[in-house]
Amino acid sequence: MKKTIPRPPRAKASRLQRANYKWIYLFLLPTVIVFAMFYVIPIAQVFVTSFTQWDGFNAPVFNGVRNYVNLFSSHSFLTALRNLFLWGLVAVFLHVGFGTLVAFVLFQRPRGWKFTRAVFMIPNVISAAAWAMIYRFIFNDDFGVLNGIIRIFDPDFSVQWFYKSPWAFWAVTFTWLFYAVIVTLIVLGDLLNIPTELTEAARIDGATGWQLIRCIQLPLCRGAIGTSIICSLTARISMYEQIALTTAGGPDYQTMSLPILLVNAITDYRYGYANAVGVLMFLIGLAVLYVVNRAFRMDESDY
Amino acid sequence: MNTVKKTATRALMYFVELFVIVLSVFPILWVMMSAFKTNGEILSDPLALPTAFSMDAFVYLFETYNFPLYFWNSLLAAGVSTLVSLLFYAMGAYVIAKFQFPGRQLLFILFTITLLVPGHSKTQPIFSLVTGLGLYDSIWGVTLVYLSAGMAMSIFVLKAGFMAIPKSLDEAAAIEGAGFVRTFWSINLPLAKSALATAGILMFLGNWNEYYFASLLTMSDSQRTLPIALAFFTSEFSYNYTNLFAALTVVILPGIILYAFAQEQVQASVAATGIKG
Amino acid sequence: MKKKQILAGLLAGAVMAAGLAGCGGTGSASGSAAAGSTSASAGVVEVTIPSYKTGENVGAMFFEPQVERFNEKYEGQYHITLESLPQDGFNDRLRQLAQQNSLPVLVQSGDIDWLRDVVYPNGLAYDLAPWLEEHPEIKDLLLADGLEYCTDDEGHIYSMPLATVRPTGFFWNSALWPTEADLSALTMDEFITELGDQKIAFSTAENGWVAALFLTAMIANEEGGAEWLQAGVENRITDFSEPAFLSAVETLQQLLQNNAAPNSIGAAYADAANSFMSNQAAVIANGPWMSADFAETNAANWSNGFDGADVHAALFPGQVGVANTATFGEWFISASASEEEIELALAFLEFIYTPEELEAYLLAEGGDAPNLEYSEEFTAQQGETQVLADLAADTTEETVFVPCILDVIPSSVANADFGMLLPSLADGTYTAQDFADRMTQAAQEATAE
Repeated sequence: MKKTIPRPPRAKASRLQRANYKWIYLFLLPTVIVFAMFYVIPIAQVFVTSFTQWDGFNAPVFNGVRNYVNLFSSHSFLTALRNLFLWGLVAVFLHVGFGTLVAFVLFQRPRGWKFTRAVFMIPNVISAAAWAMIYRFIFNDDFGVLNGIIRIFDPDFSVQWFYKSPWAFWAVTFTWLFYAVIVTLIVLGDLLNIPTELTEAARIDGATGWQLIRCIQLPLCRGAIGTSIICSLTARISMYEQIALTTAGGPDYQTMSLPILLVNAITDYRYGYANAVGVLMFLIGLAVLYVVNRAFRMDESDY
Repeated sequence: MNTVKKTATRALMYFVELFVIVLSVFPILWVMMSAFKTNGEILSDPLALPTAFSMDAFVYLFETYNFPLYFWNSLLAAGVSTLVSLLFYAMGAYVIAKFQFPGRQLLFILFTITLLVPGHSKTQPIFSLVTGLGLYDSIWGVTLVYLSAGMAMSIFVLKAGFMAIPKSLDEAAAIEGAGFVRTFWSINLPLAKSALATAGILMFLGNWNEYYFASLLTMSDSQRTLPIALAFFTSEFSYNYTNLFAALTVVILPGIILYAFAQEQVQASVAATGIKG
Repeated sequence: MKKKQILAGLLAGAVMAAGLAGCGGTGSASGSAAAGSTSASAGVVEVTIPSYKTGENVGAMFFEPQVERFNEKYEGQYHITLESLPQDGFNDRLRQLAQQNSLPVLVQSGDIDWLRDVVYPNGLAYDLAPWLEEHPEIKDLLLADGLEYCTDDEGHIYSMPLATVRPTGFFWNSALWPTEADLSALTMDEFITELGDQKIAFSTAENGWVAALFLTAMIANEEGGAEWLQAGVENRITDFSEPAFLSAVETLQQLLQNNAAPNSIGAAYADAANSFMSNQAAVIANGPWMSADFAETNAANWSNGFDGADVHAALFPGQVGVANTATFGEWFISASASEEEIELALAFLEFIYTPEELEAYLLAEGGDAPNLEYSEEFTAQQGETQVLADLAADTTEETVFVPCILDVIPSSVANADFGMLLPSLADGTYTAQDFADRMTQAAQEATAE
């Protein structure tokens, strides 16, 4: 932004910009309206009532930071935080990593790349709930496919993947770990957007395949990777169906998540407590947005 | 040496492709296959093929439930909301990506934090909004709610898309005398096709599969969407796996078929923007 | 500077909006019964009732035809249309409708906490007391405990008290387990010995229903256990250090380890039911409504040589029947309904409490109406269904009724924590003491003010 431009044109540009303001704000209007209709009240309500005791119907009663104190002295909440941290690591390194790997593989256009890309999308066409249900059957000890296959080699094999420590954590992780097509699509989009001249120039300078990836393609995809990390991390924060329909947080709270706690609190008509969980989910998400945005310098245009 | 490395890379690439395909397709094929088995066959051997291709479960489903209508409702709610919100968010993301103006950062932050509002916390305000507008038990109420669903993701993806379009093109357009709207509509929008496709697909899929609000805001059979139908087969004290797998198939399949049709379009648009560079 | 102003403005707006949303719950009543639209064209009063006892739900088999019979009887006068809803999220919807003051005319269930803390104190329900006074023939049928529970301090009766009790016991497959013993007359220890290495189909997923029933029976068999459970009806149990509970959990652990059917850990109800109906388990605990699954008409769902005719039923050892009589009934009428609608709703309640309909209900889903003089026809028909006859024979003066453990602990513990903790109890990670400690911890976190 620190270009040195001669004075007169700059003044002109700024007049042009001011003339544009009308259009700029007009263009923003629909989004602002949608935001006002659907988000202002929920966000305010979540924050305000998190400092109250509220059954969701009768008037809320202010009780200070009681809900937060209760949360931070709750075993299940602390375990849920630990799980979120672990899942976050898995999401950033394995989930986004795998999606990016597939994007780079597909970018080389090996045989069948179009087919692979098309098929990879299918799991995302299905709802998380349906997918969780399918996995409950696949990981079933008795008539699940996985153990069915393992028993071909070891007839006595028997593990309840979703209900036995330490497998449950990984069984839940598996239901989303490799389904990274969104990452692949976003990264592939950026890869395809890299001007061919740039790649050609690098080739002429003698860059080999790996160097090309490391020095040109990967850095130019950083926006896409950052977006993917944000998507993936926020999805971890709000992970509900995959757990509610499989382990419900067990065994021994090893797969407990914040949304499960939130919904459990609503079951008990403790909306204030539930919204305190909501506020913390919100704040964690905000921290993620901030850190990732900074780390990947996502606000800067490359071209 | 070089050829060994090349072969290894090639092998790795094919392995990744194969892994992706098996992981994506196998579970669904298994569900569909199981829908043709009897309850007993499902229990006794998960890998066995069905002995007789019994269509009973499907006949029952289609006789009892109006699946074509549910499909139509899902398509309507997800399709209309996606098209409208895609236009809204493209406009918003465009000005955020390309212009400096007071409140830019704040608005961008406000729009993206919508991603962080837990769905269950929105229940009460949205329910009261929809009933207030008289849209309870109407597919249009659901459509309205879906307008808001993909805000953060779409603004994110679209902003990145518009930022990737060289500013020189806008300047050239300005020199040729194109106005604000035309620069957006005829220059930037076509070039952001890939981002539009990505955002559109994500929003459509999210809305297509949405269960919670669809179930909360509708009641009549005539307003029902596909995901709600599935919930009937998982209710307490039901135990018929064959019907459950059949219902899963009927709910999953339209989405996949729809995707198979749209897929060509999607790839074409992504490819088109790719060539442009 | 400007940014700050905008931010402040937005925040102010947001807080105001929150205030409105917070207090606006009852105030912003749109008044129109959005969920139960009424049309009084041509003199017919029509209402729509949302219900989950429809379609695939087990309750549909009886409830849907019952509504049809009502419509036939009052043809030209009243008409009820059922809207089928998934059970999942049903109570959520009722909460939201209540907030908009647009509850349907006739409201089916809703959970106890909500009824007690929200619906009844806020005057959302119609008082049935005067109507019941005018209809002594119905009032006399009601369970005494239930009537007392539903009557508040000022004599209002908002929830229609139950006339029937459905003691839950267990079913056993005589083809796998040819026992001659009178199972409900045994003690729990004798029962376990008699069981030998027969398998029980447990479920631990969802709310661990089948395991919860057995655990309830075991607690009731311990010294002071029945009283402990019964006391939980008034004040939810949050302390599980009770010796009766500990010792019952030990017994349950033993059963889970020695007698659980394969696949019991992590089993949902569907898995347990399938396990029983494919001859992989000889015993399953469940309510009498399961009797319909053992009728010949359901043979398509049997496998592996299972035959419904072999199934017998019994109450739990120690003559324990799991049933809660001191509870709210299934229906209440919305106070915001119009006069005509209330007439229809009362006619419906009157209809389903006629002796014929009560008997039809008992035949379809089992149970007992203690204050009803059964017709000969009914007794004969009940005798034809083996499991219902078994349960009727077991239900005597000596039967001890206890509420299910899931109904006397905080909702979230019942719906989530209990089932979630069971697998660790089954595989020995937890001792009975650990299990009880976790339950206490979860219950206390769930009720922390």
